[in-house]
Amino acid sequence: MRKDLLRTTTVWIVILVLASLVGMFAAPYYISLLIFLFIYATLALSYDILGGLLGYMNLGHIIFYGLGAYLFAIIINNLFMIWGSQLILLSVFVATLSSVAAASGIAALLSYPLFRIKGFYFAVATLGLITLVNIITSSPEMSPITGGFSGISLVSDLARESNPRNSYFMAMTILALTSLIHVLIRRGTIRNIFSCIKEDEQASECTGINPFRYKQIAFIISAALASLAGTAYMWFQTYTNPRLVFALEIAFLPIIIALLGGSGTLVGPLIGSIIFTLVYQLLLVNLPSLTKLIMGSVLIAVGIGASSGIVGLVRGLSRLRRKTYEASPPY
Amino acid sequence: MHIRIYGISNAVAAVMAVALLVVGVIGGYFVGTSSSAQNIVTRTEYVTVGGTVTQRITITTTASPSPTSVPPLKIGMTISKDGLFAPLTSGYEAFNREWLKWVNNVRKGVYIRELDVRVPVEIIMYDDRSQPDLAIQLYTKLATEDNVHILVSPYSADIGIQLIPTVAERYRVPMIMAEASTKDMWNKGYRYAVTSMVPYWEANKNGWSASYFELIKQTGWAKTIAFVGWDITWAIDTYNSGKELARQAGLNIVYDQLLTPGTTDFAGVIRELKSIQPDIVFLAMFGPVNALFIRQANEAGFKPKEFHVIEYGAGFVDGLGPLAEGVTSEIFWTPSFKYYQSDLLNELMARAGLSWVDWQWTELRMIIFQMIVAAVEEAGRLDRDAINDALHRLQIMTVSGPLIIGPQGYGNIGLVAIQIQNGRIQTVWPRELANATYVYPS
Amino acid sequence: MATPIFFIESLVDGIVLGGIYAVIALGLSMMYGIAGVLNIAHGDLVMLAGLLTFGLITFFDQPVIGFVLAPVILLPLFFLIGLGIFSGLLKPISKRSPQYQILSSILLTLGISFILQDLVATFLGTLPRSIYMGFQPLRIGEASIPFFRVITFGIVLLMIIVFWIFLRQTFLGKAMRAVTYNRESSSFLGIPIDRVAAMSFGLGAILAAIGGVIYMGNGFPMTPFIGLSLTVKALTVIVVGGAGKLAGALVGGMVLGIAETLTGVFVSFYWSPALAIILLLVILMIKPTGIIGD
Repeated sequence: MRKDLLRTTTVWIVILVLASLVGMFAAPYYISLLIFLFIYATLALSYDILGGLLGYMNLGHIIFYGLGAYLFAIIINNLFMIWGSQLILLSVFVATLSSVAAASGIAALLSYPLFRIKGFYFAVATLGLITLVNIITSSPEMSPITGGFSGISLVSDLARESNPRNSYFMAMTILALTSLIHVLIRRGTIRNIFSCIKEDEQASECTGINPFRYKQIAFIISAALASLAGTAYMWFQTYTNPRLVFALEIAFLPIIIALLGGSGTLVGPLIGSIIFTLVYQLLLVNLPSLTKLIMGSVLIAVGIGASSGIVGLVRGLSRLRRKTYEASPPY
Repeated sequence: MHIRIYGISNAVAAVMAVALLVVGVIGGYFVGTSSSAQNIVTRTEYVTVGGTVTQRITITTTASPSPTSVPPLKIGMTISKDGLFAPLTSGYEAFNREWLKWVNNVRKGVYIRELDVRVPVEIIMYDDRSQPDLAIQLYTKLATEDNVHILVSPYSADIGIQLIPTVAERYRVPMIMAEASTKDMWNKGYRYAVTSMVPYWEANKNGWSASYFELIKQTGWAKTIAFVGWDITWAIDTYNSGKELARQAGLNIVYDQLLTPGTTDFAGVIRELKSIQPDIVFLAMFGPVNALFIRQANEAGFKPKEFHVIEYGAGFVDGLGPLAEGVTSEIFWTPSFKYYQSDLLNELMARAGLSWVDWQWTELRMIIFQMIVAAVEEAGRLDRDAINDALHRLQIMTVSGPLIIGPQGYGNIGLVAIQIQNGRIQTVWPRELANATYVYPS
Repeated sequence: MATPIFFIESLVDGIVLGGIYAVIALGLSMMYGIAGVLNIAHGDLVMLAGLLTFGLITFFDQPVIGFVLAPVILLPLFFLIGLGIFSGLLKPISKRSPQYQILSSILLTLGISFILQDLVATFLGTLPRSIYMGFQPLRIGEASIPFFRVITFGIVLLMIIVFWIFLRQTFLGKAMRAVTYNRESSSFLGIPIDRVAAMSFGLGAILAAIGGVIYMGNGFPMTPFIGLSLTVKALTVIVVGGAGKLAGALVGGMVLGIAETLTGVFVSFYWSPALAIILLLVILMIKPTGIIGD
């Protein structure tokens, strides 16, 4: 067991070092690609904490992504006015932490009304919330703070400080942190409680577990990590508007990536985001108008063939090869 | 059982994927390339920028045979061949090509004093698909990888206002705002943005509809006016300045309704207007949406004495047919203008297959080209900062009259009132430029 | 401004809008309640029907020809499409465990949605399309209502009556209702769940087609990407009305349509789109099973 853990940890450290080297020496084009990959992976992993481990499909997950981006921009723009260009690194740090704190607070508050409903209704409610947040953010009443319909951007002197390389390391750190948290939850004792709630919430309640507390914790962590992804996005792009982050079109992205790779695992969402980024961006240069068509076909293929994702597929195949018989489907 | 299901489904998936790839490769083979006329070459290719695949169109002269390669003047911009702004800008591709032919073949390029030679002009256009984040990445690419000397803004002021800090100021590239302008672009001390247009958000003679309201005041036929608009940059500017100008013209504002951008169901608004019966209905939305409003009004049996739209754009006159009769709007230029290079503008549009009835703001693009040529020759160097300085000090004659760039960066080219009469667009005010008489109910 | 005539006209508007919502939502409700599939591509089916209607109408010189032709061609076509989607893609996965099924059906219907969007965008472009048939408004007493809204009202009414009869009187209809009440008991009683589910998908697709035709017919513009927001609207309607029952879609549609229109008139047109979601959230907090749900 110890040796196993040591081996896994070494592998991950090697990966981290390699990733850092890539960040330092690769061309800006590839770095930009990887930044999106990291952000998608973070979104998928953070979604998975509530969606995969606990079974509550938060289709409004990207709301916290957008909140993170907006809060970061608002806070850091104001900090810049006070501190100027001397304390940029500190400003980024403070802005990121405050955004995450604020997003977590909002998640905590929202958990009280939201968790009164379950399953299908929870999914629909969170989906509907996206449109509501979009309308509120775009509204003229809110536009002094949020920039309304036109969106918000970092002050130009700040924007000048942002470049693909430092954005890369920010996104990479955030992904590493998210992965760590995901692993800790998955391997910790809390995982068992999550699984119980996922399987049968009423039964869990009878055995003395307070499902609400755990749902709330998962929700807050999930939201916090999503908002972290949002801050990295804002720093890199230096601009956003409500239709980019509070849009139904990207609402399904975290769940697609998580399911594609394999929900409930660490490598699953990572693989999912690699496939998604690669397929979507690199392989289809010659087929711009068929992009969605191919993505759709891939989704259908995965849905029919292997809906526990690529990871499930690999596990299933390796089980077959080892000729062991499993009573339950690969999970 | 498990094995078989995996096997079959995966095989199906694999076959599908291979089939699609084959189709895609064959299709990709036929993806457009050059169309040449004389020695102007257009190269269209697909590029991936950020998260999206889009088109990149380069229009250049073929490499001159001389051994000393003359560096071209590079102009960069995006147009929208897709999405919300496509009906308003996709025609610019052809227009750019015709102008490029003229400037390189007829005018023989642009004179660079420092090099004592005339250099050819090259235009690089991307398709921003009306998406702001893509536009920002594309302009960044133009500034950092394509190394253009000057940028021209996209149509949308929403996108434009973000481009100034994130690209023009950040990479220190002069950017000329085309159709896009709004107050917040000019009050932040930006140093790399200019535009030819008046500050039309002001409620004075600079106002977007100033010419129109002057006309209304002159003829004095209308008493009441209703305002309907989208709360989006530019539209809201014209809306607010319009309201103030209306008051100054002695009109009574009987209705004032701002809508979420994107609203296309006006049934409720129209019903309210029907019970109010204003003389004039002022529509502050994009051209095609204004057309939609007029159609819905007609279907609901609402016909005010006059519709005034801030933009009509492509397909308005044809699409509305008789419903377009009497509609008023404003524009920066009409063929009746006789300032500098009006004939050239007409010719270029004709060759590009564009009717100025459909492409309402092409004259702004012409003015921009005039500005670029003058500024570069004034600067004498292919250097961004030198060109930027020259742009900010510019005083030239354009198709719409004399242009003087003010200290904030905006100019003085204003709009004149037009009216659609018999399916044609006629200038009706001011008197010196009018070529038809304003038709109004008495 | 708030004269009785005005109020009546707004009410009629709300009812017509509600009718369109109800038709679309009913289709989705059938697919979810009977076949157990959350069809994310439902809005895209509506979009497909609407844009095909656009194509038909603009193809002929007389728009009315195209418009009458549209249901004749589209209804059978969409029935087949619905059946096809279910039998070809969804049935194979209906044998798996419920959790698997939900995830699989999400991926599948999402994939179908993407494919539909891309196909339509490739053939028809991405610009908004709308039609204009140029009718004059109908005068009923002192009120005047756009002509096509009256037609829509008639169509929706006809639809509701047809479905009412279908669900009450025919065997298939009764079987469908039985499945929505209790799936297991229905199969014990010998009802062929698979075939009933397939039929419900076909009928649901027909309803989507009707929704698309009347949406486009009322002059509302559509882009190839409007599907997802239509699906979300339909989901909102179902939840507000009551997700377990088919009639929930009708109730929810009417409530939402009228509420939205009246909010626009009496509060502000700016915020009326937000109303639907606020209503959704309120209902979910107070009575999650919906207005007529149990």
